[in-house]
Parts: sequence; C-alpha cells; structure tokens
Amino acid sequence: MEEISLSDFFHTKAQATDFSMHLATISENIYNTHFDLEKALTEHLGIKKKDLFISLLRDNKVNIYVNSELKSFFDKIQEAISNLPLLSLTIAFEPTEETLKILSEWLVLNIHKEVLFDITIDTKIIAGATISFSGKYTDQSIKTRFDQIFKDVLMSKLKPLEKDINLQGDHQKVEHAVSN
Amino acid sequence: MPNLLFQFISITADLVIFIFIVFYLWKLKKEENSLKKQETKADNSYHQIVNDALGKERKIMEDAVSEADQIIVNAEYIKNSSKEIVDKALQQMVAHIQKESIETASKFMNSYSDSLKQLASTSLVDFENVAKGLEGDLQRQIKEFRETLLPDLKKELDDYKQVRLKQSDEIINQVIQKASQEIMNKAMSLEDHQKILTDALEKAKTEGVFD
Repeated sequence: MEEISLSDFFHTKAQATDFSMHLATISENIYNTHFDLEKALTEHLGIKKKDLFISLLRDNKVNIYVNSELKSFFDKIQEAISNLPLLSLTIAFEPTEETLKILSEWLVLNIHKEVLFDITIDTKIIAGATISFSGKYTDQSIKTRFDQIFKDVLMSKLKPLEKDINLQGDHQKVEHAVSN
Repeated sequence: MPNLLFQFISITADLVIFIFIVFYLWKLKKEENSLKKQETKADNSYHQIVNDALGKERKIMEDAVSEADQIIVNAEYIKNSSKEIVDKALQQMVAHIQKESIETASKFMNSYSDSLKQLASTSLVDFENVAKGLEGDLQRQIKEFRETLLPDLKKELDDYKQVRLKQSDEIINQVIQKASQEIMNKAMSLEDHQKILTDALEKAKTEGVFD
C-alpha cells in the first residue's frame, strides 16, 4: 500500500483526532445528492488545508467525482491515521506549529517515519526532552544533565571539605589529650 | 246588828294580820341579830388567825436573819483564813520555783556548752570525711566520663555534624537547581529550545530509541 503523507494536516495526537473526526463527517455525506467536496472540505478543514487535501487527492490519483473512490480514499486515510506511531515528548516550552513541523521533518528525514506527537509541557526539565517511543524511553532533558554536573562538582568540592573537618576533629582530640 | 258583827270580824281580822306582821318583823329582827353575832364571831376568829400567822412569820424571819448573819460571819472567817493560807502557800511555791529554775538553767547552760563543744569537734571530723568522699566520687565520675561518655559524645557529635552537612548540601543543591532552572528557562529563546530539542532527538536516535 502506497504511503500517504499527512504531515501537512496534523502533527499531534489531538490534531489527528480532530482531523479524523472531520474526515469521518465528510465521508458520511459523500453519497448525499447535493454533496460538494470542496465546500465540505473548506467548511471542515479551512481553505488552506482544503487546497492541500485536493493536492493530496490529485497526487494519489483519486477521481474526486467518483464517490466510491473518494470513500475508499477517506477510509485509507483513517486507517493510515490509526496506524501512525505515537511519539511521547515532554518538553519545557509551548511548541509552535513551526516547531512541530521542524520536528516532523526531522523525523521523516532521519527515521523515515511519520509520527504523532503526544506532547506534555514541563518547565522543570529546563530544556531538551524526555522521549518515549515504541516502549523505549530516554531522558535527554537539560535538568538531568544539569543535576549530574552539579552532583559531580559538589562531590569534588565536598571531599576536601570533609577531609578538613576530619583533620579539625583530630586536632581537637590532640588538644584535649594535651590539656588532660 | 249585822254591821257590828261585820265590824267585829273585820277588826278581828285586822288585828290578826297586824299581829302576824309584828310577829314576822320580830322574827326578822331576831334573825338579823343572830347573823350579826355570827359575823362578829367569824371576824374575831379571822383576825385572831391572821395575827397568829403574822406573829409566827415575824418569828421565822427573825430566826432566818439571825442564822444568815451567823453563816456570813462564819464564811467571812473561813475566807480570811483560807486567803492567808493560800497566799502563804503561793509565796512558798514562787520561792521554790525560782530556786528550781535557776538550778535547771544553770544545768542546761552547762550541758549545752558541753554539747556544743562536742558537736564542733565531731562535725569537723565528719566534714573532713565527707569532703574526702566527695573528692573521690568526683574524680571517679570524671574518670568515667572520660572513659565512657566522652567517646560516645564525640561520636554523636560527629554523626550530627555529618547529618547537618548532608542537610546543608541538599538545601544548597535544591536552591541552586531551582534558581538555575528559573534563570535558564527565561534566558533561552524558542530557537534555542528547538535546537536543544533536535539535539535530544539526535541523541535518542543514537541510543536506538527509534529502531
């Protein structure tokens, strides 16, 4: 089955669900007597996405005047959406559409997959992200790295201090013994 | 003639009535005299009795007064003689008590003085013994403290020091972390975030998260 690129229409899980619902509504009305595809797409997706969707139909050689073909293509899209893998990201900032697009493009370019982002915002991680994909997890947040660096520095600074304290204690013991 | 009879009868009747009345009045007068005699007799008898009683009363009163005077005279005599005896006895008692008191006080003073002297000497010895005992106890306690309690105290102090140091580290760590988070979050631009995010994805790819 030829893959359909849907990254122009949504990036996140919430957006995908919304898109899927609109598509389902349009699909239900395909066999209506006065069904107008362009009008329905404009109403549900907006002008920009309507044009993109028409391009998608064209690219996939779907005859928009044949209702059965349209219906079949809509079903294909729904199936493709349900098969998209989920990438859970915890990040420290509110992502813009641009950010999501960059991330999506990076994924297509680097792992050759389209994914749905499930984004959680947590400013405590400072920057970077914690990433969970297909049961695998990695913490690439700045906070974790920062904590590690901080601990290393603190430990390296504390060791001489502890030595000083121990020496001071010994010195007090000696003084005490002398005074006795 | 019949008038004469009638007159006669009438006069006779009047005469009988007159005689009856005179007799009745005489009888009354006689009764009165008899009553007067009885009254006089009773009166005389009453006065006699009263006079006798008064005479006897007077006699009794005179006897009682005479008796009372005698008793008072006797009592006065007893009182005076008793007072003399009691005064005399009291004077003797006072003299005796004074004498006894002086003797007892003198004995007590002597005894007290002896006791004080004895107590002073005994107390000095006891005090020296107690002081020596206290000194020994104190030295023993100091020795025990040095041998047993002091090392424990030092250990507790060291433990406490370690705990406090750890707490201080944790607090400093938290403060620095929080401050750094705040500062870094505010200092970073969207581009910086995006760059770090793509770097994170790169690292995740390297780690094989997307395989």
